[in-house]
Amino acid sequence: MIATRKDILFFIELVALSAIAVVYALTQIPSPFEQQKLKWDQERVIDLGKLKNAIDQYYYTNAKLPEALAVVTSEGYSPDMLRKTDPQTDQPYTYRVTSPISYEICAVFVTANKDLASVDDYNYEKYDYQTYRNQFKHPQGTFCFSQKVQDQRYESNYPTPTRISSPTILPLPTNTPNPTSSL
Amino acid sequence: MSSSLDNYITAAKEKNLSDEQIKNALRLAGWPDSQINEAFTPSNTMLMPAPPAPHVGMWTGFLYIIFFISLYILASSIGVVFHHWVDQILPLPKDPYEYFSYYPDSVLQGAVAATLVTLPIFSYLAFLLKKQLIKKPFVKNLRSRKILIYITLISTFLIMLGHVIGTIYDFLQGSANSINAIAHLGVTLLIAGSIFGYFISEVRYDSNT
Repeated sequence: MIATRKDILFFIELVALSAIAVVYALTQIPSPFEQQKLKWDQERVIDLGKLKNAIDQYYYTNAKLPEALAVVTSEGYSPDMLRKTDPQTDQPYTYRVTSPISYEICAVFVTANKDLASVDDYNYEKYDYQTYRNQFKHPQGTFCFSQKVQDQRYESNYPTPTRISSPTILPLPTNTPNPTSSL
Repeated sequence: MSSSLDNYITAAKEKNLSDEQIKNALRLAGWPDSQINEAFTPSNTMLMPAPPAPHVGMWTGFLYIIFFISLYILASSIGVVFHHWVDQILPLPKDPYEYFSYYPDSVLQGAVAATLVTLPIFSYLAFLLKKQLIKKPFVKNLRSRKILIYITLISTFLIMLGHVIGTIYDFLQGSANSINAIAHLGVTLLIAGSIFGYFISEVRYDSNT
């Protein structure tokens, strides 16, 4: 006695569906090599975003831009979350002060994210990247982002509130002693 | 009972004496009828030992559990990829309020990884367990095997039933892209229906043999 025809057909069907599924899926997802490149660039964007926040914080505290990234502290972040070197090459990110309130920060990217849609590629695993990707759209190669500090203490777009006198609905009572209460 | 009486009866039978001749000889020697009759009752004769009941160890049950787990993961992974394919070929109108894609890359990567791992396990166990079933047909009565087959039948039936009801419900509400919905239903019926059909035939085969 050998395996029946239904056994063989069921087995062949599952193997064939698996093969088709794997081949199709591999055409839809980037290769592991490309994935590694994307991850490095995403880490660079996250690093630059966090450095920008830290530089803003430094400016609020010291009323001037830092002279170098080395003096930027990870205030507001845990120390291991503020990385100042490239995740792939371990070279420091380039930082240049261009005016009292503006600076450039540069990185070398191995892919471009300028053409990626902002919604379709949402991925739970890259939440930090989603926070900064629209601020740091970049081409492939070396790219510098011009940044300006935003001092939220002094720059406000809201109008100055003005006192509005409320209309008097009822006259306020005067504080006169009640003659009956003394009896 | 006396062993000397047994020995005498055995020796007399070897000399082809009849039971009646042996009994008479014993009566003449003074043996009481009660002991003579007891010596000749069937309970005291040498019976053929019954064969031991076929036994299937826990290891086989464990293999069946692994087999069904790998089948479930494999079928789910194939389903995820084929449903993704349907949405690529027959895309739904873009929902402006949809903040994220239902199928990020990580879902497809997970499905590929799961398929690559579970397919060899499933294939090996399918071959091993079928070979064992042919060699030892009594394995079909293994309790864990029967339970897992019926769990699989119920699960696949519920999945198909739920998807058919959902598709008709969406259609009645006018909210479904009918071609896309029918293609999704086709994927479910193909995968869950194949598993359901195979194990229904296994149940029928078991009951007929």
